[in-house]
Amino acid sequence: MMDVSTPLVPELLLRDARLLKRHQYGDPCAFEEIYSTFSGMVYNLALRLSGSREDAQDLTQEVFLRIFRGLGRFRGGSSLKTWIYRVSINHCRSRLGRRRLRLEPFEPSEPNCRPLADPCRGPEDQTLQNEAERTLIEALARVDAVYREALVLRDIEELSYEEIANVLRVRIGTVRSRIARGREQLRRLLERPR
Amino acid sequence: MKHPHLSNDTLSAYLDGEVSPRVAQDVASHLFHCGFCVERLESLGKASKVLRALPRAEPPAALGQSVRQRMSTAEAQPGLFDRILEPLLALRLVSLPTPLGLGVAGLLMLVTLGYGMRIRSLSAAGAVAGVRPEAVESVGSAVTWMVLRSGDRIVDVYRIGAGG
Repeated sequence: MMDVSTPLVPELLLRDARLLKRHQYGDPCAFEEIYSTFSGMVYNLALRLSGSREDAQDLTQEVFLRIFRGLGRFRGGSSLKTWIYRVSINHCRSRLGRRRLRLEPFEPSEPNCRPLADPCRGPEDQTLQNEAERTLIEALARVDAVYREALVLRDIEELSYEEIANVLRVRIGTVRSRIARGREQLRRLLERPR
Repeated sequence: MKHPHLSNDTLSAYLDGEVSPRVAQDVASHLFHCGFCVERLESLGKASKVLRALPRAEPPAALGQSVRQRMSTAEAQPGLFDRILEPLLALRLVSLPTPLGLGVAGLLMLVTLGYGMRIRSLSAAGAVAGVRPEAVESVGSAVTWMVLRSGDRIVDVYRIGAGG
């Protein structure tokens, strides 16, 4: 399937092509640039799909190893971003499989999270916020894996339906259906937490 | 006239602005008189909103160093696929859409099939005396292999089962 969404942005195409050329010519800074551009995206995706920071770190390392080894074979049929999302999703699928997600104890003071909460909130408000976040992460972990992937790509990574279809290599109708079902499952889980 | 309710797929896509202008107009006019669909739209919207409010995680700084270390190891030891593919690419065999390319692919397939038949015949012959059997599950291909070891040396390999 030809990716027709992101790669049509000429600046991104040009940046991808330059990075790939530099990597092919053995410029070590090219991969550094790829890492600094996409590591946040890969780590965040892995964290939300795995539910564990420890797993997310391992997954991120492995994904970049795959990218490093596979970059020479990337032919530009999609944008680099779409390709990296695809590599990440496929790797997370094969590593996490259908096993139940290993949720770790919730630590609201995680230093690597950019907080959405107002820093001027009082401690009670902050506690409620942390509790809500913990409930949400647990509920998301219990959503079926295929729906969770679509939900994370849409609502957390903010990809368009067309981009998600390209990443997952499915039709837009399937993306629409997975997102709707994922939202419905998440809503039910949040209404009736175990 | 009574209108059928809107599907979750349509409501969810409408919420994301991922429907055509014509469908968006139809949905809007349906929602105008259907409280049931408005409620469902709101609950789908809540599920989306809470996810969007999750803090964005950033990778720990030490992770970059670990990745760099693994990269340098990877450069020194290319993967199995690379080790097989690179010489073929160098010989320009895999890029030839010619009878030669097809011939090479056919030859490789025959070799693979022949090896598989040998494994099956060994498997039918039963256990080998004096060696230690060890079951190994091949992750990804769902095939289980029996490795026969004598000390640290691998004596032979049997395919003992394949999953779905």
